[in-house]
Amino acid sequence: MSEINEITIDLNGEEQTFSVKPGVPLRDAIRNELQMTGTKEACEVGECGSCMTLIEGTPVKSCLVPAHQANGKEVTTVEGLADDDLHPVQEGFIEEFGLQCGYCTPGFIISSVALLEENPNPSREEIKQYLKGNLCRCTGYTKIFDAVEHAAEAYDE
Amino acid sequence: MQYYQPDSLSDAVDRLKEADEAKIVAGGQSMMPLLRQGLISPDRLVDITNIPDLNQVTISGRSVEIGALVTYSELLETDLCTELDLLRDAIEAIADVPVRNAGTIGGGVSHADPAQDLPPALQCLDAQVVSFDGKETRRHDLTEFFLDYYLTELAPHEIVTGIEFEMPPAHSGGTYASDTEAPGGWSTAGIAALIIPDEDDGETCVDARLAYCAGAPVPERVSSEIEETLIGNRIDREIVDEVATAIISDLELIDDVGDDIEYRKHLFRVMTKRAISTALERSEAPPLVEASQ
Ligand SMILES: Cc1cc2nc3c(=O)[nH]c(=O)nc-3n(C[C@H](O)[C@H](O)[C@H](O)COP(=O)(O)OP(=O)(O)OC[C@H]3O[C@@H](n4cnc5c(N)ncnc54)[C@H](O)[C@@H]3O)c2cc1C
Ligand code: FES
Ligand code: FES
Repeated sequence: MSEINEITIDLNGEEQTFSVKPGVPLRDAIRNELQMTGTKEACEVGECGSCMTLIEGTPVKSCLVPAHQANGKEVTTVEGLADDDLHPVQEGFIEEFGLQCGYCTPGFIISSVALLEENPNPSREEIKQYLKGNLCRCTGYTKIFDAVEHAAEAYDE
Repeated sequence: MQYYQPDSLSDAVDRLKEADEAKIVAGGQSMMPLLRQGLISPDRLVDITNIPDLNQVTISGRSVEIGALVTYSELLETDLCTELDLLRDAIEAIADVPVRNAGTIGGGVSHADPAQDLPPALQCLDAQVVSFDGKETRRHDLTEFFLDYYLTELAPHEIVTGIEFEMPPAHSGGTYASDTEAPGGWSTAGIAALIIPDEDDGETCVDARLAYCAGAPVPERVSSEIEETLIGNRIDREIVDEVATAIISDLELIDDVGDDIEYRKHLFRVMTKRAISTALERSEAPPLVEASQ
């Protein structure tokens, strides 16, 4: 088997076929091969959540998933959330000032979307538990949790 | 490096055998950081996630079989975790939602990190690890499976296919108690407890199982002499204190990163008391009382 492998993923609704080296994480494949840089890179080892991505709707840290495991699957990044309007979670982050430098924001937004899809009416405690895998170094978490609650109201409507 | 995604167990074993240094990948949650940090550099990765039938949870009567590829999140969704507080508590202590979404139970036990949260709970359930080495299916008692830091009884080409155990009686109670330095972080002290009271009198403890992680190079069942302190009595605070003190002298803590050894011993004492009293509360035995006169 050669060193370079070809995989096909459905990235944000568009089928993409590209080559990826063995063992390369999904995050690097998305950023470097497909030039989708909304998925951030930071810690490299699964601790910060800035690379959070949905595979078939399930949030995973894409620096920890070999790109080959996404072959044939639906992958959603922050670029895939808005259509003509922003996603309610994106609106929530704007309304509640849930960000400063914004580096962690795509990861938080992806996790929050997954949470609200699963549980449109989470308690504060449930939000905290669900977002444990995302770190923010500047906003503190209060505004972020407010943003998710704001978005949850829109989900309820 | 080569990357294979075999779709049968025997093909996977063959792929592992024919390379100089091959590594299995399941959820990748531990493997990817090791690769990224250059701590390992295998010439071949054998990704086992396309092998069918390893992602089932099968319950027949009181026998439970959990396939190696079942993720922690999938396991949390099963009735098993509704019924078995011990298992649910241990899984909820693992990292965070996205790590649990990808991390597998087979990968967890094979990785053999001494701070892994699930092994103590499985040790209290007298679980066995089932593996396949290309020729035969082997069963390993989880109490003997771990040999040292990150080292198990598995041969390099041997694949864990699942975990098996018997459900404890419905009148038993269990829990996993742990302490961590940061939310979602690794446990600095973790202990699982399963208490089985006498079915007839409802209060004499007839079986007690305790196991800890992050206290020694391997997750470990507490020595039978210590467990026996709890058996044959109605458990009271004095007995619990005695057990918590005995466990501390059993620990082989190393002075690694994080809290100092004396503080961690203190944590183990607190976690042990918490685990036993919660297990007792959840059993059909009466909750903890002061020492009997
Ligand atoms: C940020 C972070 C925090 C974490 N915190 C915790 C925590 O608090 N508590 C905790 O318990 N765990 C924690 N983990 C570890 C996580 O539980 C493990 O990474 C996971 O269980 C390993 O499973 P995996 O399927 O991802 O295995 P992989 O990463 O794919 O593999 C791990 C090891 O097991 C081997 N392996 C995998 N499957 C098999 C198999 N079926 N047969 C034989 N060998 C196999 C691989 O070759 C490799 O050596 C954390 C991980 C991360 C990234
Ligand atoms: S870059 Fe993936 S979790 Fe930090
Ligand atoms: S806003 Fe800067 S890291 Fe979160």
